[in-house]
Amino acid sequence: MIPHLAVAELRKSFGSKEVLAGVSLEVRAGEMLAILGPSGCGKSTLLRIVAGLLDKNGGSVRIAGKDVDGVPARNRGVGFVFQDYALFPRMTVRENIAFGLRVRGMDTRGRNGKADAMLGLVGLSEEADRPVDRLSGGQRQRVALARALAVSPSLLLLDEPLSALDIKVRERLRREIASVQKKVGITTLVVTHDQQEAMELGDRVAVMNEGRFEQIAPAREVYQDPATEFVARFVGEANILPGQMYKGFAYAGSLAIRMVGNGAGGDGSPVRVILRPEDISVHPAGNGEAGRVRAIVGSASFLGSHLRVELATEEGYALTALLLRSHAMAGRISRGDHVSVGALRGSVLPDPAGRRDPEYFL
Amino acid sequence: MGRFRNIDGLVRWGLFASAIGLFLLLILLPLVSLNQYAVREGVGVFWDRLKAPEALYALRLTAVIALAATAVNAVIGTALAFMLTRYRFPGRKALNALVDIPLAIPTVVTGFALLLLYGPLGPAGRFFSERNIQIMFSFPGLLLGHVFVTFPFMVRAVGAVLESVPRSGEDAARTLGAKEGQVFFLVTLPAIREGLVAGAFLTFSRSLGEFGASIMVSGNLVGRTQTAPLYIFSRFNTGDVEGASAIAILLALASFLILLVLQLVQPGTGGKGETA
Repeated sequence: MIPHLAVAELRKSFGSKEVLAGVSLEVRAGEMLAILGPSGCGKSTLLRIVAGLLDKNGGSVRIAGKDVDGVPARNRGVGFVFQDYALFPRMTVRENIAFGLRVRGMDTRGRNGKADAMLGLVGLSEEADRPVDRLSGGQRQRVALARALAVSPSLLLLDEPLSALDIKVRERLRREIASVQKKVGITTLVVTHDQQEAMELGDRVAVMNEGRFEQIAPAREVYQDPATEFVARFVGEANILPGQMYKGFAYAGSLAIRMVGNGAGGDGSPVRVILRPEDISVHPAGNGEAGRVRAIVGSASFLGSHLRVELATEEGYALTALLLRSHAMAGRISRGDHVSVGALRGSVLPDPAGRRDPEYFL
Repeated sequence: MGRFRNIDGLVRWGLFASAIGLFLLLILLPLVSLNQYAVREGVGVFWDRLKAPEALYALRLTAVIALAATAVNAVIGTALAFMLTRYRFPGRKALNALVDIPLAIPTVVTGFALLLLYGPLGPAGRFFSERNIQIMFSFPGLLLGHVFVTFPFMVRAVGAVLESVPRSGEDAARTLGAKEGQVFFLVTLPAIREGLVAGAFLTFSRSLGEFGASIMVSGNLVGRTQTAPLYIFSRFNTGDVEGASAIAILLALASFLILLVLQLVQPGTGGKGETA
């Protein structure tokens, strides 16, 4: 099956600054793909090029198998939702939604009927005749979504659609967008710098940095088995330690880590071990089990559902651990305590610069 | 309320008094004396002077020229404002600076330069006169002078509004299927309406009072190229103070009205009529 959107080797520079360094991406029909990256990584530029709002310097964009090179934005069949809503300020909600049908020459009755159907879809039927500048931010973005969908595009592009909103509104609207997208079944590309947003919205998440994709995979995989150190640090928190492979486990000093994904290389291969803070277990000090490391608690901060614990290990490296509030240790851990620390699971990246030292385990 | 209890109060009062004094001296008194001269021989004479055919012609020509200059600048001024704010091209900064040149050059110099270029001896003037088109000492020359002198107002008024209008609205219209013409007329134009109105009023009122360039390019031909300000000057020179005053009062009144309307339509320029 051909992907609905296929971007290949896309390049773009502004002056001497390269913003897209040859990126490739495929989105299946009906899929929602989230592009996640820090600001300035090129994700919005990619979206604007796909929409035809910006020229590319090289590469190709195919929508439904057709190269759209030279096709103006108005003929690409692409719906675009902007961070700042970009509603037409002197029009009512219904007029905004009907705009696309109006410029395509549909008669008033036809377009109002379609607009009202879209209003129902986003739950704004009551507001049809209000001027858009009377609406709340969340309502505005729902109007923008309805407006984009009203012309029945084959591809929906959302450019940081929620980042101008309050956190509560953002979380609610995130779910609404996801449900509307599934209901309409439209192929969607959403750009965000918010990892939760990317993971909740995206069937897959594409992590972008400095004009390149670092990893394109389902959210769980991106989190549990990041492809690069950048991904590990940008998506969630990570303890990253030098280590070596041995019999299917990774070892960082005496700390043994069971692999989530594939290991990297045979015994003695140098690796970078990625440990999520919630995958670190903390036990009372004492009869130190094999595979654990002794540590001193540097600080323990209460964060509501979690306790954040900074640890200094006996072997000289620092670790950050997150303990559930219900964890046996959470109630009685404090600065200066001696504890024993283990790892529940982790992943590794090959470390070409690391030292290969098979003697270590003998 | 103990307003003079401290130095601050005194200083504030002093500033206030001198502002009022300057206003009286520089603005109000001249207007009052203008009024006095206009009706010195009685309202009947004032009315007669106003109704003199040359006076009426000068007033009409002034209005027509001002409207035409406003119309021309509305188009090219908006186009230039658009270029300067929406596109990046080499020489943009230089062009942006050049826009204000008509404000810096004395209007007489502008008129003189136009005269040299388009006049009977100028290269452009010869080119057109060979084709039986007379630019100088006729309507086209006057219009040219007025368009040049009032040029910056429309560009600046529209440019300021364009700067504050995000481009995403235009982009949204494009992705929704709008052609470039529809983008401009349905999205951009409504968004810059305030700037256009403000620019039009500024251009119009500046054109009403234009003197320096007009006197050079018009030849000051009574009943043909004589605008109201030129008429005032000519009347005064021939000793008809009442005639000059009558038209002057009318021009002053018109400018005042325009200023008033501008205050009312333009939000954010102070006053209580703000709707932001």
